[in-house]
Amino acid sequence: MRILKMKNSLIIAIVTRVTVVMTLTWLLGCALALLVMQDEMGEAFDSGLQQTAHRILPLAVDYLFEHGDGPAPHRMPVTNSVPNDEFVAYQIRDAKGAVLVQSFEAGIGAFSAPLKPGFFEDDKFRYYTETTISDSLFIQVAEPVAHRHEALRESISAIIAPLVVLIPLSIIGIWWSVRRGLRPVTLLQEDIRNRGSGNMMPIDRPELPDELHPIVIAVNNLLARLKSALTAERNFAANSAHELRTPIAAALAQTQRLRAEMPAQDANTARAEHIETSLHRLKRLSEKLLQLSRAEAGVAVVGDLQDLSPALLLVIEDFSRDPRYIHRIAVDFTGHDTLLGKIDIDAFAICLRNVIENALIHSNDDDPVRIWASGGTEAIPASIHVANQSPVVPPRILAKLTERFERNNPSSKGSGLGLAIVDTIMQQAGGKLVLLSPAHNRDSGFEAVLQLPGDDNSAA
Amino acid sequence: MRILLIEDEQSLAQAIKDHLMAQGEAVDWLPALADAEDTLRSTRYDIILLDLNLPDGNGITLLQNIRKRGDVTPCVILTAQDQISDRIKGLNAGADDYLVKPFDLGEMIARLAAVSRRYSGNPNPLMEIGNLEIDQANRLVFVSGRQIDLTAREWAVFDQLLRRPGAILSKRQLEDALYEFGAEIESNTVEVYISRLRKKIGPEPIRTVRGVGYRLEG
Repeated sequence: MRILKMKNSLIIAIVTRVTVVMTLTWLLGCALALLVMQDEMGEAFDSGLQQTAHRILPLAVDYLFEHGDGPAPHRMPVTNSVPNDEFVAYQIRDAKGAVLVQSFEAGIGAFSAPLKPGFFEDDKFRYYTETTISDSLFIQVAEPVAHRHEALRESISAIIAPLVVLIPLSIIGIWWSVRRGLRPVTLLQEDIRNRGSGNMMPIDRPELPDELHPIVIAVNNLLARLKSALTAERNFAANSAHELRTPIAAALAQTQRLRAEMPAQDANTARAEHIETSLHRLKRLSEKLLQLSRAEAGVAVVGDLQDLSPALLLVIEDFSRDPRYIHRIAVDFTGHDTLLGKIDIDAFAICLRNVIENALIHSNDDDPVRIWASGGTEAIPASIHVANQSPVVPPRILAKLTERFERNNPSSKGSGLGLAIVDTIMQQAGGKLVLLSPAHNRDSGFEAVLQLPGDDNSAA
Repeated sequence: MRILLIEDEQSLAQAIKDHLMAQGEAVDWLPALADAEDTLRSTRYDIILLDLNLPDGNGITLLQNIRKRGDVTPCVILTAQDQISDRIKGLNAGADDYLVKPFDLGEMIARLAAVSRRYSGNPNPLMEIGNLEIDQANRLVFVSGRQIDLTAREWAVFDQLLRRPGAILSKRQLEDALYEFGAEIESNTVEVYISRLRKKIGPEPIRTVRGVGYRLEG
């Protein structure tokens, strides 16, 4: 995953490309510089040879005239203070090629260069030949080719060596500059990421560079359209609730009045009871469908942490005073004075109501349903646990209970929608519904855990 | 009790009204906020049953207005808005309870009784006065352990006295509990029901304060 991310990184791409181009440019520049340097060095060395020949020739001729009687070749004396490791050697030769005078470094035998003025080069030396006294004497100055090669190698090293340090330093510099340069993109990225979780406020960053303004405008337009669509969905769900609930309420109330006004032994009493029972079922089903429509309208998502304690208390109070469930709710919120979660308070209430109702209707009428909280620290977001004492639900069925119209017992009183609604809402908000059977630390029972989404930065 | 029902859905309102009247309560039904505002300025009610989505506005506005002018009449919201945030909004505006449609009429009666008891300063539905035992939640009265039956109208008068034990209630206050707003009443109707009650529960609990009204001995 990390590798994939690195592969797609804009910073990596820019740094890599700039570094490659820069390195190649430097290497090409160095190569050209070396070529020019080699040429210039050759000229300088040749000039040196020429000057040496010009300076030595008169001295050598004088020496020859003075000591010409002795056996050839003569060696001109050198000062003791000068070390005998000079690079340049010379020979004075007559027109026939015989060596008349030579330097100490010249070795035995004549140079291989022909007696022709100008430069000559063999495998070991580069020679310069000069003539004098009507072409009867020739001076030949030789310099080892290896000397020139060594000078060239040292020059190459002097140019290349700094690159070994400069290229990594440049990569670091480029990386830093690119990161700084892309800072506005990072800021925009953070803004857009924050908008993904319920915050539909337009992005307001006038300081962004001109190149990013079209993106900001496009994202803001999209956010406005999303906000409008979400508001329309939510309004529709709320209006549907009103339009559907009121006529059912009227029908139920009228039916209950009808039953109340009927004489005790009226033949139609049973029929009126059936109508009332059907209306109760219709009421429950419509309630679930409205909750489902709300869940699908994306009601759960909010931008900030919400205090869910009022919703928790009101929902539990509703069940506690319902004559069907009286004395069955056992609550323990010790150590949890407030309940925080990044979820819409109404969506949370829908989830809580469904898991409590589920626990109540799928256990014996006398068995308590335990409700408690865990987590809620900076490290662990809060969770609400609701557990009953039902028989253990097989894992195969447990895994499917969050699917719509999926029931543990097909003849149960549940709508088959409750846990599906809870699962949808919790996922939407970034939380999780966890189902356990047996309940935690118990041999039996069913436990639903609402793992509330915490803050992005620090958990609730 | 004298109850103001503010509900625009006629069929539902009629059923609620019939049910409350069958329990011996006096009910005035109004379908819009404007009428309700005017009526609440001139008439005192024991409880308001308030719908929120009304043709001329939101019931919360009415509730906020009456609370602002110091009217503490208990109010139960009846609404199709089932969201917890709506409910918190309603309770914060000064509502005493919140019933989401559709609801059972029996549950509505229980909620009204609970709110009424809370306002009477005695939230306990079981009371003892001398040899009387009264279960207000279930409308049961026992005299020396023997259950007696009260009619809906008799209970309405007795309930008014039960909610303010020791206080003197005027004849007019007891009449309000008996009759629908605007209904014709006879001049001696209250005396008739007090007399019937005394026959059933004995003469001691209800004392006549001459020229002022009646008082339930606490």
